[in-house]
Amino acid sequence: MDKKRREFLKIAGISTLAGLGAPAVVDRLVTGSFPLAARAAQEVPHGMNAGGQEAAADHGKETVPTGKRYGMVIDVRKFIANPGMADECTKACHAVHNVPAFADPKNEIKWIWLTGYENAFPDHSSYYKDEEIEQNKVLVLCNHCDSPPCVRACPTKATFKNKDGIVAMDYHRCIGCRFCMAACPYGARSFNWQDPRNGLDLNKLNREFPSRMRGVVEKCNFCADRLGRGLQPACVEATGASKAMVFGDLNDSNSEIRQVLKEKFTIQRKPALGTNPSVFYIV
Amino acid sequence: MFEKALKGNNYYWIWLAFLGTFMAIGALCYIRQFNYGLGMTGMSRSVSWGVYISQFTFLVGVAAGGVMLVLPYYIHNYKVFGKIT
Amino acid sequence: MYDKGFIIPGLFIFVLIVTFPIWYNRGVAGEVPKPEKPTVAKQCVQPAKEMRSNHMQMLNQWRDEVLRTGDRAYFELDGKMYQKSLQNACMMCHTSKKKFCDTCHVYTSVTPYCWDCHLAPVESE
Repeated sequence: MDKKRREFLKIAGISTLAGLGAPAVVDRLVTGSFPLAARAAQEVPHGMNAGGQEAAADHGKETVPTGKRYGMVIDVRKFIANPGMADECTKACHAVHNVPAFADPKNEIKWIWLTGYENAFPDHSSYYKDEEIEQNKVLVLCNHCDSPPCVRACPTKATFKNKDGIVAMDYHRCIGCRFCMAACPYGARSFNWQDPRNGLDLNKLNREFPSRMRGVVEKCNFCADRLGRGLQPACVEATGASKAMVFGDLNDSNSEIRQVLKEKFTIQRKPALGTNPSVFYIV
Repeated sequence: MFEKALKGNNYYWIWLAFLGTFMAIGALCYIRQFNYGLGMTGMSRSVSWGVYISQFTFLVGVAAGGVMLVLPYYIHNYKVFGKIT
Repeated sequence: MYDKGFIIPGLFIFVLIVTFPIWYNRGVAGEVPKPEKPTVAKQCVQPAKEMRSNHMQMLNQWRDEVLRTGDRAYFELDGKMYQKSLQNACMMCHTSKKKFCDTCHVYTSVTPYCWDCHLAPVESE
């Protein structure tokens, strides 16, 4: 190529690099801190860090999380001791939230359900299991992760982490792309493949809570609507006095759930994925 | 310009009718799916994207490749590409 | 003009069809909708005039406040506490979707998607 074009390309390349790097260089020289990184961390979607943790501003310092972070401890042994209780929890949840029931398992919608040990804890070995674990199922639900992959995947931010650490669904904004379903490692999300009212008994609806429409993804919402009225989640209430499920604020070191976590050994579903789930299991 | 498509022998029209029936079947199926929901496709939680989205991404690449093959012959008049277009 | 014989009558028919809504109902505005006023309460969240023009924005605001901000605080109206909710506040007093919401919405041909999800109160025939 002729000399003039070559000169032009050289100058263009160098000035692009300079233009991209200049603000960062100037900032570091002038203030001695890393303000661009701090600004980027603040622009991260609101609530990405549970309880308002300012990760970049205190670069390297550990901060105490503020705000609430709801979590749950499920005692699988108590569910094994009370055989029908898990079904009661499922029924209570699905009744309060108008979750439809379909005959075809492909269309199934579930907010809380029972699954085998291998599916619930694939990270743990299921070699030579003891009889109890082999025969009984584990109650699983959306884990309301601290670092939720579904929230990162959502193109419209229809699913988002609210200020209490609950991963909430905004059905008004969901476009039904099912990217969150592909992203969730726990299979906690269900899509409304058809009108959910086809699977609902219209005489037995909970009139205080809406149903969903065809074409949105739904999942457990930690009963955010009931928490707003000061009630416990429906599944926790269905366990009654057995304390098989403990629900509370994980950031409050004096809460009941923190006591349980201190006293009992708990495991989580797929911890190696780095999602930081909020649901713990005593097996 | 449209006249070129309206001229043809019987075989041409039979071929068009044959292809047209597939288009009509596709349209009918789409209307049924629009009224009932995506449940009609047989997708489920495990297969939530199915042929629709997976083949969409694949065929987009195929289409882009096709454009690259056709472009030199028609736009740039590079006659050597006439062998593959 | 090429094909003048087809184009000019075609254009004329097209304009006629496209302006159909304008000339078909000329002079007739239809009946003014009369939504049924509730008997249970005297006062709404805002005066009727403002509700008529603002209820769409107010519902959107409630939706964002409740869902996205998590502000589920109760508000008081006529001595009773209500949640910020379409089903649990508005429809508690305006108890019939057909006789209240639909009268105006059908007239103006505006179909919001509320009722795809939210449960309309049971209609007493």
